[in-house]
Amino acid sequence: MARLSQGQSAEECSRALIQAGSEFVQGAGGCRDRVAEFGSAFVRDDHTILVHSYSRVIMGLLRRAVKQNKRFRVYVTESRPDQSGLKAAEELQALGVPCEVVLDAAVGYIMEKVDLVLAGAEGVVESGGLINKIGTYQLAIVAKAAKKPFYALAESFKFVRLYPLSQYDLPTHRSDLLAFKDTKPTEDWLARLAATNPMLDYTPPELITLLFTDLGVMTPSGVSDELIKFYLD
Amino acid sequence: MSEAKSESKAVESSQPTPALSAEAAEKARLKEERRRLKDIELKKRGIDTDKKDSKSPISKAERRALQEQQRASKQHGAQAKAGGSSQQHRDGGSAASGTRDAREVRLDAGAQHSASGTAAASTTSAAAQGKNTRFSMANRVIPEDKRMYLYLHLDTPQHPPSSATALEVVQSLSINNPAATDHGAGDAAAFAAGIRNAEFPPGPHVIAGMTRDDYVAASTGEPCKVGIAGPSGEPAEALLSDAIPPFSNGLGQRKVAKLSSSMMGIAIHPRIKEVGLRMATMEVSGANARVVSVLAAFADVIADYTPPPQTALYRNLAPHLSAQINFLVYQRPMSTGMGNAIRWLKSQIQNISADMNDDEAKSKLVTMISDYVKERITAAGDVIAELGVEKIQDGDVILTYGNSSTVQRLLIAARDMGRRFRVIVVDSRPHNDGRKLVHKLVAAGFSDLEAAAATTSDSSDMTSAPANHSTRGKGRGRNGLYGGVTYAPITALSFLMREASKVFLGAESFFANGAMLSRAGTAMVALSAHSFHVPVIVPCETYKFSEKIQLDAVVSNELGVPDALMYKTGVPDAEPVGLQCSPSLAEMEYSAYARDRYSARPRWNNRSSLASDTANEAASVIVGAAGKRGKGSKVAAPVAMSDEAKALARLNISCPLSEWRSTHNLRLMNLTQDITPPEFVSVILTEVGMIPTTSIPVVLREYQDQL
Repeated sequence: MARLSQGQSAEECSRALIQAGSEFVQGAGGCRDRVAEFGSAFVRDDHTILVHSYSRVIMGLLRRAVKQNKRFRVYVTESRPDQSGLKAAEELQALGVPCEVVLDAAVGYIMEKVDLVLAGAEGVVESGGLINKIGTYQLAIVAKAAKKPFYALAESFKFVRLYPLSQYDLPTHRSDLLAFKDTKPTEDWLARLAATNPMLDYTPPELITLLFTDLGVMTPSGVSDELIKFYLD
Repeated sequence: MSEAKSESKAVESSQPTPALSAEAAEKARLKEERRRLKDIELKKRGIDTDKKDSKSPISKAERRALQEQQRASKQHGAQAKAGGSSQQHRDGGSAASGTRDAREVRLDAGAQHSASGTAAASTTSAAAQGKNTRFSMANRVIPEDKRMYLYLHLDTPQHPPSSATALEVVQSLSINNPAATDHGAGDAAAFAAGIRNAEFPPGPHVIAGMTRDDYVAASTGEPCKVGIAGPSGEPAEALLSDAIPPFSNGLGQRKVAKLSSSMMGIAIHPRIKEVGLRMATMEVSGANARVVSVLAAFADVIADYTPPPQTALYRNLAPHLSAQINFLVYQRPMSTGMGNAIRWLKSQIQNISADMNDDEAKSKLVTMISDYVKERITAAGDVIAELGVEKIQDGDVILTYGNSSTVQRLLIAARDMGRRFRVIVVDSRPHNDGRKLVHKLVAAGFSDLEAAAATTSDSSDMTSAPANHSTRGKGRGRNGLYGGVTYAPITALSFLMREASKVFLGAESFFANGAMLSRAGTAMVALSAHSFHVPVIVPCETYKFSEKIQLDAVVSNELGVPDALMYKTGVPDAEPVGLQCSPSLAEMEYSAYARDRYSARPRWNNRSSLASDTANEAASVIVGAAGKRGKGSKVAAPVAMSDEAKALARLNISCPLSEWRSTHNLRLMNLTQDITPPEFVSVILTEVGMIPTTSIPVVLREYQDQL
């Protein structure tokens, strides 16, 4: 927007905006490359990795690791309700990475065998916590309990100045989620599931080992640092 | 230690209690004198309220005469007392009140004299909230020469040699002296405290208005009148009546001001004295309130300051201010916020360009000060309140501790925005500041009926309130609107934390490692919140951030007056918290119930019956350690008491704590601050946004030029 000036016609303006938008998208791709560059060092031969849901930035990192001739196995969570884990599994198979899809409920079962956990992010908040696909929070809790490193992958444009204090403090929170609404005697629970369940949860910073970002590998507290610097200008 | 002890004893005996008749006569005299002083003051005010700097209408001779008279009248240990009258304007932040406020700090001599010598609190009038009670230290009178040294030291203009002596004296008496910090050496400390609390000697070396002539006399080595001068050396008659009081009860710890030659001969501005005393008496005690009132006073100091002829303002102002700051620090240790503000002010003075004329520079500085207050405190508070309101949802149960101005503002703002929530105010002795918060919340309508409906029940549901409340519509639970205020002592914390959905705490300062310095007890509340998984939200303006790191609360802390632990505070007529909490309870202690369980309860402090009552020897053995502690302790007779005896007992019973100065190995510790580890604080609300504790150094770094 800052690029627009008074003298421009509407057409010029829209062209400028479209250009800025496409630059941003390309930049985003570049960001993911850099995340992969920084993060792939953490993947080593013979590692077993647990991945939650489908995330382009995770795929980018794993692809980079494959290119570096690293041999590793991946467990992918099914990630209900949209089952996006299946898509991730397909892509990994195409890459030639040994792969298993685990039920979201089997995360605890599998955690012992895992060397590191990777999760993407819809947003990274001021506290250094994550907003991500539902299930990330419990995955992080299990990882913490099993003392496995939990790495979050996020491009720096996902940093947002929010500071949720709990799951219900997110902007996506709706009061009708899981709200004990009146149900019919013959309720189709399965159909109801996706409608009444949240799609996102919040993972607090103390559960996150490190964040892989295009600015480098940082601890959760580094997020606030970057945000303060960003908003200062 | 023993030396100090014997000394203090000697001092005690050297000052015989004045006879009653003498006291009465003196009272009359003082009354007379007070009236006269008031007349003069009124006269003066009538003439020069508009023009602060104008010369007083009273002649110098008359002033001297007054001084003499006042000095004479106070020879017998009459006490001066500071403390605002109830009508007194309490807003330390209003710069406009100027010197006039200082003049309202009145002499209230005589009335305070307590011949009893025990630590019974004597208050003159039942006053509004914030009225301070004064602990009588009448039995600890300081020999004239010692006092002189002490005050010479305080009011810096003096020849260097005697100042050095003064320093020695003060240091030898100071609590800062390691030899005296051990409470085992309690007598030395007590003696020092006695000096601090003792009345201010009214000699001409102390209270005299100081004129330029006096300065000249001082510099030529003649016997001089050292003292308080008004702004720009103007003799301040009003100050005759505001004898700097015995730094009453508020403080326990004072730093001995550093003596430096550059500060010699610099007079303390009356506004600074006023602010210093208000801080010392805890009338101004909040972190923000302190900074605002200090800065307002500095604005006055700067406005009134005239540099010596042929010199530049920007060169002389800093040492002039340093002297004022020294006085303030002596009254009460500086808070982090104050330190930051003062450092900022000094750097602004440094930045004044040399070619700016004095008046311009002064008005520029005054404007900058008011801007600083607006930007860093007032506006910051607004932003913080806005952020805080976002974090409060309908149905929340907010737990808070003590009385933080920022939290108070935030809660009231949230209610004004239509949020309905319940507030739990947790409070603790000795200051019980939480009561002020309750007062404000109730005044803001928190306890109104429509809101109070839900407070009594449904509390178990409250824990899940954040999850469920919104399902019930806006703020409407099964039992109507949530709301109300609960006031509880800190001992109820672990029970109440169960109900809380958010904890809001005030902070005095944040260290670079994210640790929070705050009023004692805060760490406990934060720990409890952490273990109950309740988010701790701390509103804090960035000017309170400190680059220091303090690992625990013992490294540096402000010592409260130990005596504060002996008293019930917050009530106008403070009485010792002894075995009796109220007359009825005291009676209960000696009733049939008491005889069952507490028949062997010793009657502390009953010296008169020390030798008698061998029949109770067995009982005193049972009491054991307690019985051994004070030679004055004695065991109550396990027989029913007559009314008369009960009344007598009530008089006699007091807590052994009130005798702590003379009791070996009985120590009182009144730390006023503690450190909360960073991991217990979920979020800090600042004017630069909501940040985690880990971002304190980032803010310090990034906003360096602005801080």
